Amino acid sequence: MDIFNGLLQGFSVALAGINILFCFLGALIGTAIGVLPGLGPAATIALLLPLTYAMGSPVTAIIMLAGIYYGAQYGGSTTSILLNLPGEAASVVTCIDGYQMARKGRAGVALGVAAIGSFIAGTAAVVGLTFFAPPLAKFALDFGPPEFFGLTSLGLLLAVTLSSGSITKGLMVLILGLLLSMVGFDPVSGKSRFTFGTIGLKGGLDFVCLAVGVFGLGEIFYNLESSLKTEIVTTKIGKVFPTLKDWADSKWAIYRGSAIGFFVGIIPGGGAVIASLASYAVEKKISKHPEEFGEGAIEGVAGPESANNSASSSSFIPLLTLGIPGNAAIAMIFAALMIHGITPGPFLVKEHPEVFWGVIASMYIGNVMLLVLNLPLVGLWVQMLRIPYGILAPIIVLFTTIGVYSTQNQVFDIYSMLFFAVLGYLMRKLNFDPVPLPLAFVLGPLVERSLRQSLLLSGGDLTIFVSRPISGTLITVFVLLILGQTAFYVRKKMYKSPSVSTRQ
Amino acid sequence: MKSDMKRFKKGMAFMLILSFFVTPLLCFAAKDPVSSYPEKEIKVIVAYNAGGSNDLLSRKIAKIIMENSYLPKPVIVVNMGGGNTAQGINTVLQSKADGYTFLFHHTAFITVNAMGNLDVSYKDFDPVCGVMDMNFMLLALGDDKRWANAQEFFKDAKKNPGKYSVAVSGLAGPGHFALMQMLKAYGATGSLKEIPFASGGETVAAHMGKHTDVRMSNTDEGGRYVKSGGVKILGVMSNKKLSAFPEAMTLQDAGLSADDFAMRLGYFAPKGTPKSIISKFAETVKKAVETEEYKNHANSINSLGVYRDADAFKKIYDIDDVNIKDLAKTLKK
Repeated sequence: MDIFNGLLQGFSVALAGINILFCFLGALIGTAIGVLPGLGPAATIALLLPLTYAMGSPVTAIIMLAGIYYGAQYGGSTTSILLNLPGEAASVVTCIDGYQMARKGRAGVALGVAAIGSFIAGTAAVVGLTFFAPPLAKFALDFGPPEFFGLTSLGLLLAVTLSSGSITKGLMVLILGLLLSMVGFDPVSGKSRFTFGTIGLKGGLDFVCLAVGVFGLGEIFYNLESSLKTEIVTTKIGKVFPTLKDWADSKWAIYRGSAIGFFVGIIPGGGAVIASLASYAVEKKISKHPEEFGEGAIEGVAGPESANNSASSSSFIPLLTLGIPGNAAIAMIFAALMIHGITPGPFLVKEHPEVFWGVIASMYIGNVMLLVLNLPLVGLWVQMLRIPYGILAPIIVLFTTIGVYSTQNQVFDIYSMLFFAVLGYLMRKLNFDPVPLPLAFVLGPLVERSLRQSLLLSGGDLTIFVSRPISGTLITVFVLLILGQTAFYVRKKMYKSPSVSTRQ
Repeated sequence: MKSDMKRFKKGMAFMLILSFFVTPLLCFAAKDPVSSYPEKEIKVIVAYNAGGSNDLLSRKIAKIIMENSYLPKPVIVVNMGGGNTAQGINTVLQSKADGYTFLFHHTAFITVNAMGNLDVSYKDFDPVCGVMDMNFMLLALGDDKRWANAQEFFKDAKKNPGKYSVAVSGLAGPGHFALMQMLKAYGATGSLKEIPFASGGETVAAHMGKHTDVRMSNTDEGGRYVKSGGVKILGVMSNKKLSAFPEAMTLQDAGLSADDFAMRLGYFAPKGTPKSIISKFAETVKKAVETEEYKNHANSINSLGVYRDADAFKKIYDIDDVNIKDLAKTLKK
């Protein structure tokens, strides 16, 4: 069969000595930058592009770059779990339960489950890629502005439900996130908004500053108040690796997360964020113990982590089959292919089968390597939690500041990180869950842009959202969810009133 | 013995005082900064984050210069993507005009300024040289049988204003202006629904998913898809034929002519940089532009390396400036 021949060819390429070496190198670098705040896979790949000039074979270069990309996903979950510091938007959801697990001494379990889940999800996604790439790519293309609007609006709704505490507070944080995302350029008219004339604000606020400030530094500022705290984990660390019970608890979350991530990840621009959100929401909804979510439920880590890893694998599909880069990091890999004179597109599999299949085969191998790299490291990372907070906290501040500056060489970014740190501190003091903030910040511009693009396309006609099948479905789900929640609260209130009235 | 010590001390004191006077003189007698340029590494600032075709081009040139040792010191590219080009531009604006900091930028310098989103203009800098012109073209899907070329398309669009939509990447960026210039040339201003997308990838996805009828792309991005199939060029926004796509309809082919519009990439220096230093750097860049490696790179992005010296570069920018400011009035409404 064609596919098996291709795969065999691919493996023979990917298993060549030099390609294995560069696969490992990519995975290593990717994990490192995933862990370090600031520098993301897109920027790293861009910086390493000149190196690929020197590499004779394009396959080797792409294998390394791909390794960096999905390696970063593995690494990103580490800081989320250990330090409540999301490396990028897709890791925010992992913070919710991951960090709580760490505080309860279950950091090793969380990290282990994240690594295993990522491996299974990543591999599953590559299998899906192998067999179903072309029809799935076609499905991805059917997502136009109205569909994006439906999808991202749904994402916003999910972001609210994720927050612990009252829905009102969740909504307030969400709206704050939306407001912050509007600073900078209006996506359609190009006019500056809320920049107060400063250059730093012209480009809008930076996500990394927000995430690192609100979650990382904000947490540190808050912790500074309680002088009794000596370590992040005060209870005994306990079992470092997941047990069979943990596996049994999380395996279905992993499978579901893989599926969700795979399909959502194909959509160009959709990506890992929405996948992780959706997975978390699904796990919470169908869990037999939903009250555990937010306190350290293992499914809350297994699901989203699997989702964002399979999303990063499936985002290769539009690239390899249609030549469309789905996000910034993939666009860089695209550039690398171009540099070597290979034009990704529908004919890639015919013209350069060794590249097409070689990359796919290396993804299988890469996933194995990452598992091998990360699992033993779990023990090492967990030891980090034992470092006295007084030493660990300044190190975190140092790394995050450097990381934040490294993205744009702009001092303003450091100030904005401090602003967010103060914001994060205040939010914790006032008992507001900060989770919806980065999610709204990322989704907000997508919602606005797709809404306005859709209206431009339809000439102002709102029916465009419901007249198309996919967006119609998404909008319907959105409306149903809101109606469902409203009905739920109305019923709750109705149950309360009789008891109030009997209390004379 | 005492007198020996005394003489020794006196001698030392004399030497010390002498050196206080001589050393500054030595500094002034040091090498002339112009003829010894460059004495340290040269920084080229790109006002975008790493990875765009703008950035890749500047890195390519730096690489060629260093590989061939055209200069005794390294040329380093630094990315400053903040403030939507404002940060990089302002950094160079405020740098010392000593020839060790340059800005590598393109026509967005004019477009962003024309839209009122940048206080600084290219006129606040000393132009150094231009290295490439990148053209824009209107693309339709390969299997779209509705129009064979731009002439037919715009005729249809004029007859049915508001019916067709065009995807363009980068709001109010050079691509959008190129589109408006093309519409103006064909007399079809305002006849299309102009849908901006945040990146080239999204523009392509939207068009390939048939959410818009056509799209406007630069020859780098658009050219790839033309070469890999699936997309055909309706027309190019250019008076003359493009060497990469000679069969594509030009304005001339359609019996029209308009001021040329292209994204012109090049270097700028802080105002007041000594002319001889500017020409020395420009000469170095010229050598790089004339290499085979550069020509191959230009080919791979379907563009032509066009070297313009400082005067020619300024001249073309002045012409573009007038046109773009004019087009901006339509957009700003």
